[in-house]
Amino acid sequence: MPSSMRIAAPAILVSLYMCAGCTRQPPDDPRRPVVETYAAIVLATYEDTLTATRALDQAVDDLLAHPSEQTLQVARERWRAARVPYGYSEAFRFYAGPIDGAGGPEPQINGWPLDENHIDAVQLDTYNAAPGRNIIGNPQDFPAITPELVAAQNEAGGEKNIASGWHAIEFLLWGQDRNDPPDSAGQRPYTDFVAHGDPATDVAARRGQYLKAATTLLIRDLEGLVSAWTPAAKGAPPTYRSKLVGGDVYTGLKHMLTGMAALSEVEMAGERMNVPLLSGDQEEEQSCFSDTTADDLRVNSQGIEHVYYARYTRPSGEVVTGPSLADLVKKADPRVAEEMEARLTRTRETLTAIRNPYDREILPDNKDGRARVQAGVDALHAQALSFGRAANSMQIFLSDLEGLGD
Amino acid sequence: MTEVTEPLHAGRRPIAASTLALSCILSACSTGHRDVTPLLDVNSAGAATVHNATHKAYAQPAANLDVQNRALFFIGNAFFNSPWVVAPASATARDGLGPLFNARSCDACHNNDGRGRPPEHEGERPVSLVIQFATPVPGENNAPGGDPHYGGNLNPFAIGGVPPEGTVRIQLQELPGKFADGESYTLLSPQYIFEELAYGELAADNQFSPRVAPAVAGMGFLEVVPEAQILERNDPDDANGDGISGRPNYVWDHRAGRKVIGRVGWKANQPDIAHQTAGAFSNEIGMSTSLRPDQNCTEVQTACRAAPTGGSPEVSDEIFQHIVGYQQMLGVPARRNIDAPEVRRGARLFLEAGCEACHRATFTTGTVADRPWLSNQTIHPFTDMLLHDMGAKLADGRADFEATGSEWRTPPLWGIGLQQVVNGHTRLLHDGRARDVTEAILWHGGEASRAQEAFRSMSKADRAALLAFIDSL
Repeated sequence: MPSSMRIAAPAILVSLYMCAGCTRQPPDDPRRPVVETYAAIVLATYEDTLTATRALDQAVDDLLAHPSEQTLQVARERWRAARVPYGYSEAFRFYAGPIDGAGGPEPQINGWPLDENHIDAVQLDTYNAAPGRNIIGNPQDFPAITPELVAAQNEAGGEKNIASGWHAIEFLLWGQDRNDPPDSAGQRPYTDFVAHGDPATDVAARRGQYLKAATTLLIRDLEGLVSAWTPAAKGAPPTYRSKLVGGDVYTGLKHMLTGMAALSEVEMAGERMNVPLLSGDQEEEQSCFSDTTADDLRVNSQGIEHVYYARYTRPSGEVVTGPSLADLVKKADPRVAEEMEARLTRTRETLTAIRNPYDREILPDNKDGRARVQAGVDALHAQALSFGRAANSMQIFLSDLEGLGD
Repeated sequence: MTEVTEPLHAGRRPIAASTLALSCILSACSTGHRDVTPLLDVNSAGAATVHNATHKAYAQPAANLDVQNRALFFIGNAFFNSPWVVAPASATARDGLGPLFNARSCDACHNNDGRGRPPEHEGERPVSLVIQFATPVPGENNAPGGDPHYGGNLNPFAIGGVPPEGTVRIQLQELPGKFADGESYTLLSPQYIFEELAYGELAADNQFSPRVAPAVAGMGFLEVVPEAQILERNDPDDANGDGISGRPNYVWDHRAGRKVIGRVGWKANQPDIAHQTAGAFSNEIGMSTSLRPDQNCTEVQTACRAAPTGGSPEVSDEIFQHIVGYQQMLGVPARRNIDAPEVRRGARLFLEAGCEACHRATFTTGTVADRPWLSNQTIHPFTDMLLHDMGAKLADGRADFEATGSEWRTPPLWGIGLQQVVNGHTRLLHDGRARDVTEAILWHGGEASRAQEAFRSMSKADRAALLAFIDSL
């Protein structure tokens, strides 16, 4: 790809605009369909997350109406299922798009570590002894538990707690993981949701209200993402998607590559793998209540492959696909493309090798487990380097990790 | 300190030039201080400079960082940004917040590794503006002593079951003024009213100092400037008669167990990033570290004292080192627009107005064995790292080690042109009272009176050029 391509796209847009009445139009950037395919994959992924989260919300309704071991299990299964497409979608972060741009819902959807003690009384002994200090146990200060309250308690800015999103729901469904037996996740009994007496003050009833408020809020946030990625209707104001797809192609491609590189290096290798390895703290895993962190990592890496190869198979079986970054890199530099593909494969293999539960893989005395996690870290670092090379091969420069620090 | 109000004029220059020539001989420089070249170097921090002008411009790893350290950078980054949580929590490495606190994470105040601000609307509790307390008589090792009921600073937040200390309301008084060309301006002078104080009255002789969180990027370099270079401009008695009498602060180093030169903080009141970080953990986040092992509760704060802790120390040594290392590995953004004629003219004006006398353009870092990316770099921080009397209007009246109540360390200016992009505001000075660079300059008094007056007397076009230069930093 010639280096002039970088400035060609805006120039074309300007000339298109200026010769609106002309008969001949200059050709558009041939790479635009790659950005269009990307937008279609993003929308499909968020739609599938929303559908799965609505199913979770339905299961929460059933659990609260008929608390039992079975309804609790179904709700947990639905949470796990909804985390899969959400995990894919994390490849769409880190370039200040709808998920994590200014005012984006990411902190509200996926904030971590959770202030569980602020939400609900946790068990005594090594844990706390503070009933009445948390939201669920304190009807005086928090009379109505609503999605608005949960959102307000999770506000960014340093003065609020992490009280909403996936991990709040996870905490309410599983409870704290006390590793008894050692391989187990959290063991919250369904009776924690069996209400007695006045629902305004009963702790079990209020726990249910919190759970429902958290799923309701999550659905609202996901709906916002779906609409941001939906093509604008004719005559309606442009959505994020229509601006991205119709805008400067260089920026669109750079966003795609930045998201994948930053998810690989900053979020996965850094925050979710290296940090737990160094802390040696068993619950230094992002899905610590359900013990599903290793699965999170695997779906993250699948999400990266969806973006790079421009191919996403939806739960319905429908395949969303089209011209891909992989095609562009192959054309620009076959050797870089080969390296990129080998490294994506290596990441997939190393992450597959990590065993469940993740909290035992990272224990200081589990040499083999830690080596498996370390192999994943190394593969992700190599993969991030390759994303930089792949970008350079197309004259795209990832000078900044824009989402870094979010 | 008498205020010098006469405008800078050409006749003064020979005097200044001769003293500069003398200091040139002493520091063995050949080009002289009138050379604007060092003010227009695109690389603010040598090979570590990062080319990024986005809202993450201050948050980038140094460009010359090796692969291993880059991985460590992202570990530190994770801890710098994540909130600490109330103990007990499942994430035991991250619990122990409070009981009393100002913020839940480093990033809450140093957002995007940038600069804090005072509250912007009625009823907003201060987060990145901290009100430090002191008694007139210093405490141990000449450090400021805390208020007997409230400790070292006001904590407007607390964990459940513990009353927050209170909050502060800021009343602004408008101070009108005029440039020499007749254009008027208004400065805002803040008054602080303490409210909702939960632990009784503040001590009658309480002295307080409001301070916003400074930008973090670049501190690693200032930490490794050889002391001899800082002392080059040490001139406590203004022996060279230029009206500037910079001097270093000497502060307590808990690790070394002795007084050392202060480098970090609004009054150069901390020796290094580690002390600054441990102090912020202790006073502002309420987390104990090996350097500052105690819980931040006074005798009268019984609920605070009774609250569960997150271990001892709450921040492990290893995690603490990652957070310190992260700050040392941050790069500094490259300059922008340095070829613009206005910026070049502004650089000359910056020199001529005497700004560079304190906002020193250039240092060369020393060799640090385990930090090669910081070593032997020519850096342009635009600070001399010395204390200067800034006049009565900026004074907080609170001593800090050897710094008096009217002395402040020259704050570095590198990256300042990106503050709006990074932090969404242009508040400046120790308490964030200045709403932009112009106001910050106009607040300068004391030793900086002459430079302030030079700016006030400039034509509008010259002021714009000077601001364009500062915006390129």
